[in-house]
Amino acid sequence: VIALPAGAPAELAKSFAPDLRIHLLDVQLGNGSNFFWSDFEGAFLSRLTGAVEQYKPWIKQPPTIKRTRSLSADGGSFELQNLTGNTIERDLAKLLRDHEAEGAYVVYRRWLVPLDVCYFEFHGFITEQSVEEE
Amino acid sequence: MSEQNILNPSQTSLLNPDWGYTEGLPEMRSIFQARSGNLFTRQNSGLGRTYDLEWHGRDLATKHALQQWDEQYRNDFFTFADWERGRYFSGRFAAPLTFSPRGNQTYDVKGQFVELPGAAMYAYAADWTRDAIFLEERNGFGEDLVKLLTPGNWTFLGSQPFAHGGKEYFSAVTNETAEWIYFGYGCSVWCLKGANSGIMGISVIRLRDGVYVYGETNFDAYSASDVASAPIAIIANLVLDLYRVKLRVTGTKNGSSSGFVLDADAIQVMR
Repeated sequence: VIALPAGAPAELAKSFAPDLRIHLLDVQLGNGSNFFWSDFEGAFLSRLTGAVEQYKPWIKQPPTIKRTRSLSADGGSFELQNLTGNTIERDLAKLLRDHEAEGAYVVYRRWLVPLDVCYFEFHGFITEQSVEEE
Repeated sequence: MSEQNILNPSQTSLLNPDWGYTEGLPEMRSIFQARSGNLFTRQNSGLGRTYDLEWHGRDLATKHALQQWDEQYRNDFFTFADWERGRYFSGRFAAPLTFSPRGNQTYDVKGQFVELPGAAMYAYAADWTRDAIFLEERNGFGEDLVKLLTPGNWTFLGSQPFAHGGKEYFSAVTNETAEWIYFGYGCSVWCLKGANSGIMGISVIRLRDGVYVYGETNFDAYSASDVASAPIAIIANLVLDLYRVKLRVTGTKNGSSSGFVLDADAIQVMR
C-alpha cells in the first residue's frame, strides 16, 4: 500500500485541477556525483540531497515501472535526450563515457507541482545503459 | 537584444503575412472523459502560442527577405507583431519556411511561428481588460485552485460580497501562505480591504529555476470601511512562463487595523 502525503489524495481526485504531474529522476553515480533530471524544467526538492535542486528537462520517456511481486526484480527503463552538447560530443554521451554509470543509484518520483509532494517513489540501480544518436 | 528585431515592424510592412492566418495557444491540458460522467483535465505543459502564416504571390525581394530572416534567426529568436491584437510575441519559425514559385517572379511562402516561453519581450501586453483572465480561490465545481500551506488554518467564505466572485479564503495565522500556479505573463493580486485586514507579503517565483522574479513585498490591506476586491499588487512585465504567486500572512498590520487577516481572493493573469 502506498501511503499518500497529506493533501495528495484530494489533489489527485480533482476533476479540474490546475496541477502539473511531472517525473523526477535523482541519479547518483558510483563516484558520488549527482544528477537531477525531469520532463519539466524546475527547481524541486531532491530526494538524494534533501535540498532544492535544479532539474534539467532531459527526460524524453519517463520510466515505465514493472512490479512483479515475486523474486524477480522490479524495474523499468527511461530515455534521456542526447541532443545538447557541442558538435564533437553530446552532454549525455560524454557523461556516460566519462563516468561509470553501471550500478548508479536512481530515485524515480512522480511529483505534484502545486502541492510540491511526491505521490510515487521508486528506488533502483542503473544497468544496461546505451547511447544512440538523436 | 533579439526581441528588438521585429519581422513586421509596421502595419504596412511588406513582411506582414496574408489574412487568413491562424493563431492560438496549443492544448496544454490532458483531458479525459469516459463515455459518461465527470470530465477530468490536468495542465501538463507550458508552451507558447503558434501562428500558421502564409505570404502569397510575393515578389522576389520579399521572398529573399523572408528567407534571410528565417536563416538569420534559426538559432535565435525574434519578435512577431500581431497587428490585429496589437501585441508583440517573441519566438522563432518552428521549421524552415517553404517557398513555392508560382511564375512571373512571384512566390508563395509558408511557415509556422512559435512563441517561446522565457524569451525577452519587445513590449508586454498591457490590456488587462481584454487579455487577462482570473484565477479564483476555487472553481465553480468547488475544487481549490489555490494551494494553502495548512488548510486547517484557513476559512472558506462562500458568500463574501466584497470578494471577487463572491468567495474567498482568509487566515490570520502568521506565515500561512496561499499559492497559485499560473501560466502566462504578469499577474495582479486582487483582494478586498477591511478594518481587520493585516499586511500581506506577495512574491512571485519562476517555476523553471525557483528564482524570485518578484521578491516578497508588503501590501497593507487595511481600510476603515470595507472596500470591494481590487488589484492590490500588479506585477506586470514578466515573460511568458509558469509562475508561482505566493501570499503570506506577515503577522503585521496597520496601527489602526484590528486584525492580521489575509484574504486569498483571486489573481488576474495576463495571457
